[in-house]
Amino acid sequence: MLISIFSWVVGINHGMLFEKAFLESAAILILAFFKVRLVIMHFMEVGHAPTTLKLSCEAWVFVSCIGLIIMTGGQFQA
Amino acid sequence: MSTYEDNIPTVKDNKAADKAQEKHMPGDEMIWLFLLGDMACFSLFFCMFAYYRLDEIELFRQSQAQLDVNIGSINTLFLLCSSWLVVMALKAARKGLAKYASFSMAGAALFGTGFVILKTIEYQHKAALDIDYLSNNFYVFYYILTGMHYFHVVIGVPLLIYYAVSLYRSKNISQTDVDNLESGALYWHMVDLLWIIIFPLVYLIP
Repeated sequence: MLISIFSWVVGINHGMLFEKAFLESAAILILAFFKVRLVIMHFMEVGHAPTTLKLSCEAWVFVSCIGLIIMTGGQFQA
Repeated sequence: MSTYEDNIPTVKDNKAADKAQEKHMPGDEMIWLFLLGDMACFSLFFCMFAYYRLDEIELFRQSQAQLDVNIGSINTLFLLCSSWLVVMALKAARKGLAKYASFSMAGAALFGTGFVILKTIEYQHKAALDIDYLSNNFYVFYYILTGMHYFHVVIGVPLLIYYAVSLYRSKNISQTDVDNLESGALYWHMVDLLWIIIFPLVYLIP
């Protein structure tokens, strides 16, 4: 809940967190995927699930997060 | 020939049994196949959004500035509260507290309805500004991502209402009821987590 409110404030005041847009985008996405992981592990009870399911979910979070950070950061590298 | 000592469970055996008991698969294999497939599809759309954003960064930024961050943030809080109430409902159902579970589920449905109302208002604002899914590439993805998610919520809310009503009417909760409830809860949590990514990706990132 607190992370959501923090993201809300950062979203309204661009440049508040980091001056560079790439770093701000990365920070916002990492916070979002951290929240997603919390939902998966605690709300969806995957934390106590068999290893295969746990690993599948962790892999989805990790790959999606890294993929999006790289792709949203691409414009600043070019 | 086995001796009496062989049949006495050792500390190691007990630990293994405890560990096996601790591991609980929420829902069944079919619901997970559906959820992970759906999540993978959304991931592809997220990556496509980021890819097209690379080519037209200024257009995407200008279009993003027309979105209402406040409505999006309130919707995030609505879905988080809704998801939390579903967790409470499931816990209550496991303990056999049907009425408590029913009220929690009704609360979750109420927050879900709030999301639908706010999202509909947002779509109406866009329509009033003559913005539709063909306006530009940003809005193509905006309507695909938020539209598909909206569709998921519109399916989920009646499901939550159905659970709330059936829990209210039931006198005792069977294991099958709990299993069904688990599957519905998983679906609703997936709807929540997808919005947790869509919102920053489409509304927030600079």
